[in-house]
Amino acid sequence: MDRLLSLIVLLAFAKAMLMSSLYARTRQRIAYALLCPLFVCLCHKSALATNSQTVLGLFNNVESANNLILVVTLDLIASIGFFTAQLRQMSGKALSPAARLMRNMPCLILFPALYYLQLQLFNSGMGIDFSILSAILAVGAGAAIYAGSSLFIRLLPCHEARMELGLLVSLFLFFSTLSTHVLLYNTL
Amino acid sequence: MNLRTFLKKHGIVLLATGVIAAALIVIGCRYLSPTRIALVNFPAFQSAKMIKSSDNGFIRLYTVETENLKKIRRADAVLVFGMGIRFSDADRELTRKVMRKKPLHVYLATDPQNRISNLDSLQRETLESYLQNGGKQNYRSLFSYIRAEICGKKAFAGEVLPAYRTPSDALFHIEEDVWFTTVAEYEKYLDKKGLLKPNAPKIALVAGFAGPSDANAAHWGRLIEAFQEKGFTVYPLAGFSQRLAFLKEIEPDAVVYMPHGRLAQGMADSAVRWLKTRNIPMFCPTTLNTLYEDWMNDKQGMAGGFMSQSIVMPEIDGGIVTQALVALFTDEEGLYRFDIIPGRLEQFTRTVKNYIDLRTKPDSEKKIAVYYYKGPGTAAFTAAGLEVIPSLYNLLLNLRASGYKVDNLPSGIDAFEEELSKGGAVYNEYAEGSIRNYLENGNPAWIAGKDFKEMLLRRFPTSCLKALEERYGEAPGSFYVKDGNIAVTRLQYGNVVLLPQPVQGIGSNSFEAVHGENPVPPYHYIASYLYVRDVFHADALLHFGTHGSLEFIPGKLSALSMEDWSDRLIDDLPHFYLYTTADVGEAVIAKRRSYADLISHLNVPLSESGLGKELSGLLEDIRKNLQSENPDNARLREIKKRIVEKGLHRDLRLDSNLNQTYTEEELQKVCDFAEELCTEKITAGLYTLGKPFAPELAASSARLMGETEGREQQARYLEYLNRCPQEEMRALLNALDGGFIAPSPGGDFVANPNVLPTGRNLYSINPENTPSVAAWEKGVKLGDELIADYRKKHGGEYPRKVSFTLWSGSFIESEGATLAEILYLLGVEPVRDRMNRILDIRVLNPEELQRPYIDVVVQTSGQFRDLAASRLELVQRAVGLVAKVNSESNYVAQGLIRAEKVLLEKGYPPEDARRLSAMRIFGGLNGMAGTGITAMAESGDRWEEDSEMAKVYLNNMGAVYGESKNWGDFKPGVFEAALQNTDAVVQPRQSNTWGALSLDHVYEFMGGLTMTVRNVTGHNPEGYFNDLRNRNRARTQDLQTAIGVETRTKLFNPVYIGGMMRGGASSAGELENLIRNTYGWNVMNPEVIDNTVWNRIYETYVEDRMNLGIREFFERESPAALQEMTAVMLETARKGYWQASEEQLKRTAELHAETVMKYDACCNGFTCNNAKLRDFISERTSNPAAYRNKIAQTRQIGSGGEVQGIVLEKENRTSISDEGRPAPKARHLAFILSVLLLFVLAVFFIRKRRRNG
Repeated sequence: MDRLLSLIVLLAFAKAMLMSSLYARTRQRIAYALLCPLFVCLCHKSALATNSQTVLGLFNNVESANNLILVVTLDLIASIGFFTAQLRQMSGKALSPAARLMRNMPCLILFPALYYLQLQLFNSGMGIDFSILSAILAVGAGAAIYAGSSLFIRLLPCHEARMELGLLVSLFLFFSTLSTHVLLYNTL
Repeated sequence: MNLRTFLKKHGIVLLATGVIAAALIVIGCRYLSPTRIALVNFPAFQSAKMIKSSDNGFIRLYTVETENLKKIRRADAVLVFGMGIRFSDADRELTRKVMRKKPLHVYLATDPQNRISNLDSLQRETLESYLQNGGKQNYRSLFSYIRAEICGKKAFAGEVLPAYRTPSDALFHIEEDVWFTTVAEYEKYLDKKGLLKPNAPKIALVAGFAGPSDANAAHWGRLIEAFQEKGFTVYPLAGFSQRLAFLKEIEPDAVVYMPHGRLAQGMADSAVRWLKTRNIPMFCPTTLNTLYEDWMNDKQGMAGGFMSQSIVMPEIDGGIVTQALVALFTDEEGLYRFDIIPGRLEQFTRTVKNYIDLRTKPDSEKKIAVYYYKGPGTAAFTAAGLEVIPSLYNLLLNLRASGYKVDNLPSGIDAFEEELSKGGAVYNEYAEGSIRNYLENGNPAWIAGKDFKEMLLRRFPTSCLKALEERYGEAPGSFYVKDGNIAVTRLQYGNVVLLPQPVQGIGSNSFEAVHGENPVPPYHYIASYLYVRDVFHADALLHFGTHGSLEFIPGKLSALSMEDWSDRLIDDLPHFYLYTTADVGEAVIAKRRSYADLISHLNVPLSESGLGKELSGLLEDIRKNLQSENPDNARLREIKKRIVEKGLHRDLRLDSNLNQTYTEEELQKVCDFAEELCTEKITAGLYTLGKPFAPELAASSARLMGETEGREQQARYLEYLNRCPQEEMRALLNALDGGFIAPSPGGDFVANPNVLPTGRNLYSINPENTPSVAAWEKGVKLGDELIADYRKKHGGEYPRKVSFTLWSGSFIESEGATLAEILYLLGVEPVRDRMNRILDIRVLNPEELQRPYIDVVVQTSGQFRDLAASRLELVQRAVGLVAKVNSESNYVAQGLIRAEKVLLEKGYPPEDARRLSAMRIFGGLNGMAGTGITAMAESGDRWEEDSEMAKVYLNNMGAVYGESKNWGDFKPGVFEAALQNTDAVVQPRQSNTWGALSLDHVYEFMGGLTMTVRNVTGHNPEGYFNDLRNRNRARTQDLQTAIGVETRTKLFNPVYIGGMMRGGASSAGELENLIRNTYGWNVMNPEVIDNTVWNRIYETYVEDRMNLGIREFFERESPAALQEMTAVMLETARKGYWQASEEQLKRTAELHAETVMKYDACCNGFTCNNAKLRDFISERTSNPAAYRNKIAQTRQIGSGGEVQGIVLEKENRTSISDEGRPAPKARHLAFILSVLLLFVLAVFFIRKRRRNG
C-alpha cells in the first residue's frame, strides 16, 4: 500500500508542477511554490501527533479507500475545470468569473501528498530533529514545485502540450488510484 | 484670539506650568512613588510572611521564580534568596544588567558564584540582620529600610527600627514574637498561664524548618494546644546551637523533632547517646514544602533532597513516625501559609500519647497484638532467617516473665506449634473447603457485619471505601464471611493476641496475595487490623519478622496521606517491627510506610561450605600443574577426568572431551571456581529469637566476620554475637515500654560487623550523596570487569546495552556501587563539592572515555524506587545527556533510535515515540513491589510458552519511573522498546544470607528480565552478579558460575542440609524454597540449570543417597514442605525441564501422594492450584482416586480461581503491521512501473508531436 501511495504522491507532484507551469505569471508560480512550505509548517504539529502506520491503516478498509477515490475524483473534476478554463483562455474566448477563478486554481491534491510525505519523514527520520525534517521538506517541496514547473516549461515550451500532459497525469492519477482499489479489494 | 496671539500672551505661563508639572512628576516618581521590591527564590512560606508583614501601601512586594527572572526588571530593588539557587549564565548577565540601575542583593548564597550584591557593607549588614532574625517587625523595617535608605525614597517609607534580635536558641509559645531564653523563664510563663502541670509528661517540640519566625506561626499554636489538651506540658523550642543543651535541661518524656537534618549537627553522636541514656523516643513528623493539593496528587509523597533532610537524616538519630503533619495551603489572598494537614493533628498527637502511655501503663494491663507471617495453606511460617515458631514462643515466654499477662500458653513448643498450625492458618481463595472448615471449627474472632461497616466508616476516607466497594462489593464481602459476619484469624493468650497477616489480595494468584501488588486489600485483611484496634484494643502492635505485606500496599513512597492504606491501618497505634539486620533495604520501607519502630535481629549463622575436603586434592594438583613449566599431559588428562567426574565443567561451560586436555586458562578458571566453593560462606540453619547461636556456629560466624582481623577481634565478635539475643529481647521489651531504640546501620553481620549488637532501629543512607566516592571506585571496577568479560566472550565486541536490576539493600550497603557502574557505563561521572556531595553529572568526551557509550536499562524494585527516587531520575538524566553526544560509538544514541523505531512500528506518533524512546527506568505497575511473575511461573498449568510470561512481565514491570512528572505512568511497548539490543543483565548482591537459588526474588527479577530480553531480542543475554559481599573486593560474577556455586554449596552440600535439618519447620521451608527457586530459574533461563541438577535433587531429597534422614526430618518438622518440594519436582518434569525416568517420576509421585494422604493437602500453589499437575501425579500414583479425593476435600472443587496472572488490560493500540495489512505483491510493483513508463512515454510523444507540428 505504501508503494502505491508513493506513486500517487509522485503523480500529485508531477501534476502540481504541470498545472503550475500553466500559470500566466511567474509570481503566481512562486506564490504556489511558497504555499508548500507554509502548508508544511502549519501541519508540523499535527504530523508529529500522527503515526504514519495509523494513516496507512486507514486505507486498509474499503470504506477509507472509497474516500480516497472520492478525493481523487473531485480533484480530477477540478482539474478538468482548470484545463477547460486554460483552453478557453488560449482560444481567446471571454472567461466567466467562475472560469477566471478556475484558471488560477492551484493543484489541491499536492497538499495531502505533502502531509503524507511529512508523516513519512517523521516516521523514518529517527534521531533527527523534527523541525529540521519539516524545514527540509518545506524548502524541498517549494523548490521542487518551482523548479519542476520551470523544467516543464523548458521541456515542453508549448502551453497546449503541458495542458495535454497535465490532463493525462490527472487521468493517470485517477486511474492508478482506481486500479489500486481494484487490486486491493477486487471491487467494481 | 487666534492661537498665535494666545501663545504670545500666555506662552511663558504655559511653559512655566509645564516645567513645574514635569518637575513634580519627576520628583513624584523619584521620591514619592511606591517602591516595588522583587523577592526572588524565597521559599513560598517566607515570602508569604514577608508580604503579610508589610503594611505600607508605598511598598509593593512581589515574588519571582528563577524561571521568570526577567520580571526583576520591573522592580526598584531586588532581594534574592541564594540558598540552592541555580543561576544560568544568562541569569547572571541579567542580574548584572539590572544591578547597573537598581539595588540587588543575594542573601545566603551557597554557590560562591552567586554572591552578588551592589550594596555597601553597612547596607548589606543591616539588611541581613533583618532577614536573619525574621519576624513581622523585622520584615516591616527591612522594607522600610530598602525604600528609605537604599532606594532613597524617604517619604512614606515607614518606621525603620533597628533589627529586633530573635534569640538564636529560645523557647516560644502560642503568642507570636514572644521568646524565652531559659527553661526557667518559660516555665514561669507557663505557670502564670496555668499550663505547667507538675506531673504531666513533657514534650520537647523542636521547631526548625519553617519555624515561627520564618513563616506563619498559627500551626505551631494548634500543635501546642493539641498536645496540651492531651495532658502534656509542651516545650516548643527553636534554635540550633543550644538545642541539645535545652533538651537536657527540659528532660522531656518525648522529643517531637521537626527541623531538617540531624538532631544536633556537630555532636550528633552525643545527642543519640543522650536519647539512649535517657530512653527518650524521638518522633519526627514532616513539614511538606508543597501545596496540600499537590501533595495529595503526588505519587511520590516526598523525594529527593527534601526527603533526605526531612526523613533520612532524623532516622539516623533513631527518629520514628516520619508522618506528614504540616503542608502548605493558600489563604484568601492567594498567599501560602503552613497548616496542619486535615485529620493529622489528632492522629499524630494521639500517636505520641499512645507511645508515652506505654511508659506508665503497667505491663500486666498492656495489650499486645503480634502479627506473624506465613504463606497460604498449611505451609511453614516464614520470616527471613528466623525459625518462627520457637522464636514466637520465646517472645511470649519473655513477655510473661516481664509481667505481661500471657495466659494459657502451651507448655512446650510442639504443642504451641500444633495450636498455631490449627488455629492460625492462612488460606487462599481456592482452598474454600479449608476456609469453611476453619470458620466452623477454628474458633476465629467474629466482627458483626454492621459493626464492621461502622468501623470502616470511622477509620477510612470515602475514596478508600469506594475503592473497596468497587473491588469486593459491599462490606463485609464474601471472603472469610459467614452469616454476614467477618472472621479474623487469631489466637489469644491473655493480653497477647497472635494473628497471621491475612492474604493481601484475593484471587488465585497467590503471589499477588502476599506481596502487595493489589492496591486494594480485601475486607478480611482490613478486618484483622480493625479487630486489633477496635475490638482487642491493643496498646501496641508488633510485626514479627521479615517481612509482611502491610508496608508494600501501593501508595505514596513516603510522607503518606490519609488515603494510603498502611497509614489508615496503623493510624495512631505504636507499631514495632522485628526485622532481620540483613535486609535494611526493605526494613526502611516498613519504617516509612507503616511508621514502624524497627528492632533488628541477628541474621542466620554463617559457616564455611565444608567442601574443602572434597576439593582440596584436585585444587592442589591443578595448582601444581599451573606452576609447572612442562606440565605432564597424562597428569593433565587425569585432572580433566576428575573435573568432569565432579561435573565442574558444566558450571564453567567447559568441554568434557577426555581426549583433549584443558588449557592453562581453563584450568585457572576451574581453580578459581574450586577455591570459591571451598571458601564460600553458607547459612548454617536459622536463628531463633532469644537463643544464642550454637557454640560452633557462633564461632564460625565470628571467624568469618573477622577473617582478616585476627583472633582478638574475632573473640570480640563472638562476644557480641552471644550477647545479641538478650539485647534484642531487651530492646523489644523497652520498645513496648515506650522507650528509645538506638539507631543502627544494616547488612548481614559478616559483611558489616557494625550492625552488632542487634536490637536496634535500622536506618538507611542519604541517597542524595550516592554513589559515594568508595562506591564510585567499585562501580568503575565492576563496569570494567563486565566489559572485559563480555568482550572475551564475544570476540572483542562491547555490550551495546546492559540491563540492571536495582535493589534497595545492595544500594544502601554499597552506597550505590551499582548505580556508579550504570553511570560509568553510560560514560558520565559525578561532579562533587568539597564535601563529596554530588552536585551534578558530567558527560565524558569520547577522548576521555576511550570506549563506546554503553546504553543501559534500569529495572527498579519497588523498594529501591521508594527509597531513592532521585537516583532514578539521575540515571534518566544521564541517558538524556549522553544521547546528545556526537560519537560513532554512542550506543545510547543508537539505542534511542532503535527504540524509537520500535515505538513507531507499534503505532506511537513520532513525537511520543521519540520522547518515550529515551525512557530507561522501569518498575512495577500501580506502585507494586514485585513483578507478579513468580506466581505465574509457579502456576505451570496456565502457560505453555515462556513468551506468554514475557508478555506479562513487560506489562507488570512496564511503568516508567525516570521522571517525576510522569512517575509510574504505563505505556504499552515502551519497556519492550527500551530492552532492544540488550546484551547483558546485571543483578547486585551484597548479603551472604541469600544467593541466586535461595531467594525467589533473584529469579523473579534477574531471571524474569533475562527471559523477557530473550523474547524481545531473540537471544539470551549474558547474566552477571555484582558481588558486593566483600566490602573490600567487589567483583563481577557470571550467572552460571553463581548458580554452580550455590547448587554445590547448598543444594547438594551435606553440611548445609545438615545445618538446616537441625532447625524446625521454617528450615524445612528453606530447603523447599531452594528447589522451588531452581524450578524458577529453569523457567526463566533453562540454560543455567541442566538435567543433572534435577537428577541430583532426586538422589539427594527423594532417594536420600547421603543418608541424611531427609524424609524423617520433613515428616517431623514440615510435611507440607515435603509435599510442596515433590510437587515442584514433578511440575519440572511435567513442563519438560527435567527429563526424568519413569521410575524417578513414579517414586517422587508416590512420596508426594503418601504425604498428602497422611497429612492432608497443604494447599499452597503447586499442590492445590495446578490441575494439570494433579492429573500428572494421579497417573503415577498407585491410588489415584484417593489422591484426587484428598485434594478435592481441601479445594472443594468448583471454587473459582483458575485465573490468569496479573496482566493489565492492554490499551487497544493495535499496530497496523499486526492485522489486515495486505502483503506487497509483485503485481503492485508491475502496476507502478507501468504507470511511470506511461508517464515518460506521454512526455516523449507529446514533445515529439509538438516539434513535428
